[in-house]
Parts: sequence; C-alpha cells; structure tokens
Amino acid sequence: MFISNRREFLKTSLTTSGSFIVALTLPLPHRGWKAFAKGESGFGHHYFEITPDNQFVFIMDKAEMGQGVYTGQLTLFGEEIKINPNLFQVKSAPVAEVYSTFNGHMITGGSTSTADRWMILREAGANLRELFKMAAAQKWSVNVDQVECKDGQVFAQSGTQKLTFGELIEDASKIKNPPKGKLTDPKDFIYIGKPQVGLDAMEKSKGSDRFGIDVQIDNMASAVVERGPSFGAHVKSFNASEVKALDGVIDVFKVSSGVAIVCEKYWQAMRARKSLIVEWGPGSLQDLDSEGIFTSYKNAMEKTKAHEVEREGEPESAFAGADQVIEAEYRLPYLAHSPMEPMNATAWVQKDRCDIWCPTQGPSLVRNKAAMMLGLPREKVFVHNSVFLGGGFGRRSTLDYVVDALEISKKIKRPVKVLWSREDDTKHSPLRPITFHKMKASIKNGRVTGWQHDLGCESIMQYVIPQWFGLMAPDWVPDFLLGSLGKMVSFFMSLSGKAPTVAEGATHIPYTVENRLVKHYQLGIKVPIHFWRSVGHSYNAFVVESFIDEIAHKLGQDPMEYRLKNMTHNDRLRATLEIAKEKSNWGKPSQGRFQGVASHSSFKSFASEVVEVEVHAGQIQVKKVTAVIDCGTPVNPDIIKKQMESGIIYGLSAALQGEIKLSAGGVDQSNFDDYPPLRMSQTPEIEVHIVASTEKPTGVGEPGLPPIAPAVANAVFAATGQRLYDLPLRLT
Amino acid sequence: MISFFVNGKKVEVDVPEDTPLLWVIREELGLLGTKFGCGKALCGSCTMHLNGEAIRTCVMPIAAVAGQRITTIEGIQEDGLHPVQKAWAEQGVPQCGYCQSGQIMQAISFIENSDRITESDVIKSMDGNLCRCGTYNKMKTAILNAAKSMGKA
Repeated sequence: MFISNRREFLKTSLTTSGSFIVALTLPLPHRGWKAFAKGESGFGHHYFEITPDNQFVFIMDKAEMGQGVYTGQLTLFGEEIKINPNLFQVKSAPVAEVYSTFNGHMITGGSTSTADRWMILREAGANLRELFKMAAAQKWSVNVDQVECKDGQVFAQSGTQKLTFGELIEDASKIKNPPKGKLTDPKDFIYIGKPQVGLDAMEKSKGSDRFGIDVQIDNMASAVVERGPSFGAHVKSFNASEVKALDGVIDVFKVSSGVAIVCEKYWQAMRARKSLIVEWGPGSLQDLDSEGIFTSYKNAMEKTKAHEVEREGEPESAFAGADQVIEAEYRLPYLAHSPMEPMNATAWVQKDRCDIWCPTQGPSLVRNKAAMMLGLPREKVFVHNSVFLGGGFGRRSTLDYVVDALEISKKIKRPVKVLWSREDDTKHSPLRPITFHKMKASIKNGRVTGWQHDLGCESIMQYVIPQWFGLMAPDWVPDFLLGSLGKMVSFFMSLSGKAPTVAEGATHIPYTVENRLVKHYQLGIKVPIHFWRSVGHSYNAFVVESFIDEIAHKLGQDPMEYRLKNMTHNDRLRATLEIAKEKSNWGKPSQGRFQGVASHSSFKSFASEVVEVEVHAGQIQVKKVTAVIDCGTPVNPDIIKKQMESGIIYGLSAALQGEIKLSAGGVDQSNFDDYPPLRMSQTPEIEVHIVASTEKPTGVGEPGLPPIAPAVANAVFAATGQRLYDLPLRLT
Repeated sequence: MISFFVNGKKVEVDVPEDTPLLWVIREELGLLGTKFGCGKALCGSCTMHLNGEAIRTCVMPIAAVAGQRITTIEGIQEDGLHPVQKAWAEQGVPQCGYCQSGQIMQAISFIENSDRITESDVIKSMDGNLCRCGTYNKMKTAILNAAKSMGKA
C-alpha cells in the first residue's frame, strides 16, 4: 500500500487532469452511492477512484493512529468490490460534508470507524462490482451472471475475454440505472474475518512512514511555546530583547497560550528557550490540588444536591431495610494521554487562505477553528490531513496545538511548524478527569437489594462545548453569537445535569439489582479535561468491578461464580466471562500467582479479563492476562488482538503507575521518568480470545481497557487480602 | 564545521557543538525516519547507531560524534529489508508506528552485537524503548524470529 503525502496527491491530481475517472461518493450518513465523471458537480469529494491504467485509489477520511483503520476500511470495501486490500492506494480526504460522521463532522474516535462503515462500505463495493460486471457483460453481449470479477478485472466465464475496470470506465459511467450489488455471504468472505497484518506494516517497519512532525513546507519556520507553571497563568513580562538577540531567533512574542519563540530550526528554538525568562501572573486555578479536589467532592456529596443519572426501584427503602450495608470510597487521578509523537502542527496563514498540516482526529474541527480565528470563510481553510498520527487516544481531538501554529504563522506571515516538548504535553495536556466515588450496597438475606453510586466528576462535554459549539454550528450562525451560544448551551446542560459520558459504565450495570441509584456531583473545576481512551468507562469500570468483587467476597462467594450468577440480563457479556473462566483456568492459577477478574461492556462490545499477578516485596507484577472480546463480526482478528493488547497495556500503565497530580494549579509530572508508560519487562503474556459472531461489528480500540485495572486490583486482593480503592494501585 | 559519517557518507555541518545529533540528522540533513519522543533519553524513539552501537541521539551533542560513523534507519540496509525489518513487517508489529524506527534500531544493534539471544535477553535489551501503543509482545516475537533467521537464536 502506498500512503501519499500532499505533494504526491497534488501531482496525481494534475496528471489525471483530462483523463476520465470514476468517483464514488457516499453521502453519509445516508446510504447510497453515485458515480461521477470528472467535471460533474460532486466530483472530488469521493471515496474511490479508478484510473484508466487500473489503479485503485481509496480516499480515506479517517485518521490512522495505530488502530488499524486503513486496513479495516479497505477490508470492508475490498471484500465486496473483490479487490485485495493490499492493491489500493490511499489518499487523505479533504474536509467536506460528505465525509462527516459525527453531526456533520469528520472525527475519528469512539471506537466507531469500522462499526459505522460496516454496511456502507460493503454496499458501495458490491454496487461498484456489479456496475463493472454489467459494463463488461454489455460489451460482450452476455448475461451479467456469466461474468466474474477479481482484483479489478472482469472475466467472462465462458472464454478468455478479460477487461480491467480501468478499461471499462467509460462504459460503466454510461449505465444509467446500475443494479444493486448483492452482499457477499459471510461464509464466502475472503478478506473479512481473516487475520491480516496492517496494510501500513511495511512502511512503518522501513521507517518511511511520515507523521505531522515530519511535515516540510518551503520557507517554513520552527517555533516553540513556553506555557505557564499552572493552568490559567498569564504572561506578565519576559526578556524579549535578550532572547531576540540570540543566534537564529526570528522573533519572540506573546501568544494566547504563553510566549512563542520562532527560529529557522527547532534546535535553535529549543536552545533559545533555555534563555527565556517569563514572569507569570497567578493562574486562575492556583489554589487547586488533587487532594483538595477529592475532599471537595466528598464534602459536596454530603452537602449539595446531585443530579440523578439513574434511578430504578426504591433504593432508599432497600437501604432502610438492609441487614448490612457495604460501603467504599474510590479515588482516581487525572491522566494525560501522552501519545509518543509530541503535539505539533504546521500552518501557513495568508491573507485570503490558510493551510494546515497536522495530525488530528478531527480535521473539520481544525478547519472551522481556523476559519473562526482568522475570520476566513471555511472553504478558504485547507486541512491537509495526510499524515499518520503518532498515537491519538483522544489527545488529538483537541485544538490547543493547532491554535499555536495559527497564531504564530499569522504574526510572522510565514509557514511555521510548532512542536511541543514532552514536558509541554505532560504539563499542559487536557486531562482524563479526576474522579471520586462513594459506593454503597445493601444486603438482605445474603443478596444485594440496593446499589448506590455517588460519582464526583467534571463533565467533559460541558467543558468542550463552549469551545466546540462555534465549530460545530452551521456556517450561517453569525460569529458574534457563537461564543455566547456555546457558553449558554453548556450552562443549561449543567443546570439540567446533562453530562453525557460522565456516568457511562456506572449506569446499566450488568448485574441484576432491583433498586439502584446513580448520582452525579460537579464542582465547576476549570482544569482542562478531555476524552481519554474509553472515557467514562475508564474510571467507572474500575469502581463497579472492584466493588462487585468486594461484595462477592463479603458474601463468601467466589467472585467469578458470583458474577456469572448475577449477570442475568447481559447474555453477550456473560458469554465472554464464561470463556474467560474456562481459558484462564479460573481457580487454578500457576504456582505463586493469584487471579482476579473483571467484565465490562463499552462501545457496544463486551469484554472480560482474568489476570494473574505475583506480589513481591510490595510490588505488583502482572504476569498473564486472558482476555475475551465479543465485538460482533471480527473484521480482522489480527488487528482486534493488537487493539486488545494495546488497550490492556494502556490501561495497565494507568493502573500500575499512571498519575497526573495537580499542585497549586499545575501538573507535578513532566516526562516519561515521572509519568511512565509500561515497559516490555512489565508487559504480561496476553492471550486474546475473540468470540465467533455474525452480529454487526462493534468497537475494538477501547473496550479492552476498562476491565484491566479492576481485574488487577481484584487479583491483588486475592494475593494480599488488601483491597485497593485508589489508582494507581499502591500496596501499603 | 563538524564532520562525521552518516550511512556511509561523509557529511559536514555548521552548528553549535552541543546541538543534539537527532536534530542535526532531522533538520540539517533531512533524514526524517528517526523520531523525537522525550528529549531526555527516556524513551528511545531517537535511537541510531554510533559505530554500530545503539545510542540515544536526542541528548548526544554533535561534537561527540565528530569523525565517527552514524547509521540511521534509512541506512540500515543498502537495498531491500534488514531481517529485523522483515520480521517486523511479517508480524505486523507497528500500530501508530512512531516509536518503531527507534525500536528497530535498538533491536538490530542488540542482535548484531550478540552471539546467541534468549527471550530474557530481548527484554533486557529492549526495556529502555517505550511504546505507548503497547506493541511489546509482537515486538518480542519479531525479534526472536529475526534472530533465528540470522542464526542467533
């Protein structure tokens, strides 16, 4: 496979001028398709091109950040058009309505890419396959069912006749009412369901893959931005003239996020930054620290009114009539996403247009943000989303690093690449919110009759909507309204308690408890927060699955059997647990090891995990993970396995050693020495079992993460008798 | 002027002596396969070879490599793929791919400088290279496969 960069994309477009190409559009979310000839309106915003020399070009509107989306999309399309996914060229899509997935926006996230395109891409492939078969059949004057196609060639069953799709373009485009192609019977799939290594594996093994950090634009400057010691700190003064006098420094000036140093090269900017002295005014959040936030949530739960997220039955009566009430409190820290590729963006702001090259999960947000900031029409902003993302995990759906590049390029009137250091990202990343939980279960006659979950957490949606509202709104909404409308929407959301994602995984627990209450408390903390891999599930699964384990033990029951017995209304999740029990040899861990289990459904998938741990001198070592996932029809078992491993390791990094701690409104951690991802020596053996299914595919990138932290904590309890309620897990 | 050898060719650069090798390679010489991850020799994304040994180039002052041989991912094999790269692609190790050139450079230097390797050698040698996507288990398999194909495991 070939991933084109922008220059090659332009070149290809030019060389094809005058030639005849078929383009396919998929007006999402409406299912359908249409073939356009060059020059027709609608051409250009399409998914697929066939060139006269029979090259297959797939226009990719999704961001590849390691989750295998390129391979997944091409597998679905290739299966039905009967072209080996390896034979496609991939070009990145421009920002356009036709590609929108989230309310008119191009966003890659929420473990949705393969699931959402399951039917759309297959139908498109099947229809195109049928079109070309028909074109050939007409040419040969045979019936359409007497021709077959493979890898972009049509063959007549009865003879040696053969034509390529490229040769059939003109005939195909003349067919007025093309037939609807029949979807392949799953038993005849040749690509779907077969383990295949990622189509980008070769490029990424050669080192020829390109990321945002590698973007090269003529006359490009390089910039860094010094940000304040705490959130909300503002620049009072800085030694501009001293820094400006240094070798290679083009300019030093204030930007909205701090002080920018612009040089020709990054190494010069990094050098000059060492001489920069900024006097910072106090940050608006300088009184905040992590410990204080936990205490504030706890106090709020005693004194203030909550928003009820879920109420079933009569929880109050259940607690009043209980034989016993089990209670626990949980504290989970802020977390940074910390993708390996540091934040970067390249922008060229000109008077009447703006070009942006950046690794982003949300190119349409980037475009609209630039348009709004610069006062340009949206169609004058071009986002060249043609690079791989060096990790995303949610971090690359923020706009902070793009804003830097836009402000600086506008000021210096040149293209500029802004690159954050690792410390910049660790200290200033919008974070997975800190959370505090109070859990309560009432026991009557040996069974759980009531369940109460008090959840203290700020709402990511309420935080991002004031920033995103203007970007999401249609073009005709006047600019002056956008900011205030966003704030208003957020305000009304907080009044009415609308906080999507906050309680996901806390409501609809898979265990049958008649009387349930889930309450949500907010403090109005303004620390930047954002979607972090698996979002609300990342903390709620830990709490629910740790608490259910504690209940099982307190009732004197095996935690596996207790779960199976009470998971009475979620058959698919229960089935993954059954498999995990069997495959992990539950109850018979290897010598010196202890087992723990957790089960959680997220992003419409179902996952259960059993871990084996050893504890030596207070150190938790995770030795083995047996993971089971039901994600519907497995599109590519190899990628599913890799994503499960990835989610588990990402989750283990957080469970064992991930903590962003706030002191005086600033982040204590700075780099991989104090915010370390897991290492190879800490990585357990991971066995992944994929449930055979013919259901529609569901999420894969995130569902492996939520069960891992509670499974480890539960195993640690089995090993030590110590129940750990806080993350990261630390034995005392 | 500081001169040294990159992928077999002599180069001369005019930069301050303490400029990190990583940025000389990326910005002065335009070789973009080697990545920046932490700037403190904590992650290994910037790994290249100095006279055949893996080094962290984000903290290596250019003056320290004067006259010596540097190899980057671009120069690891004249044509075709190095056995480690081949094993990597066959296993489908990469996810986001960003740390992988550093991982591959670390693995190559480790295998080429060992007589025989075991799984625990792999873990010991690779433990300073971080991967946020968690490709460690696939990496381990790929390295052992590569070592086998090179007659070292």
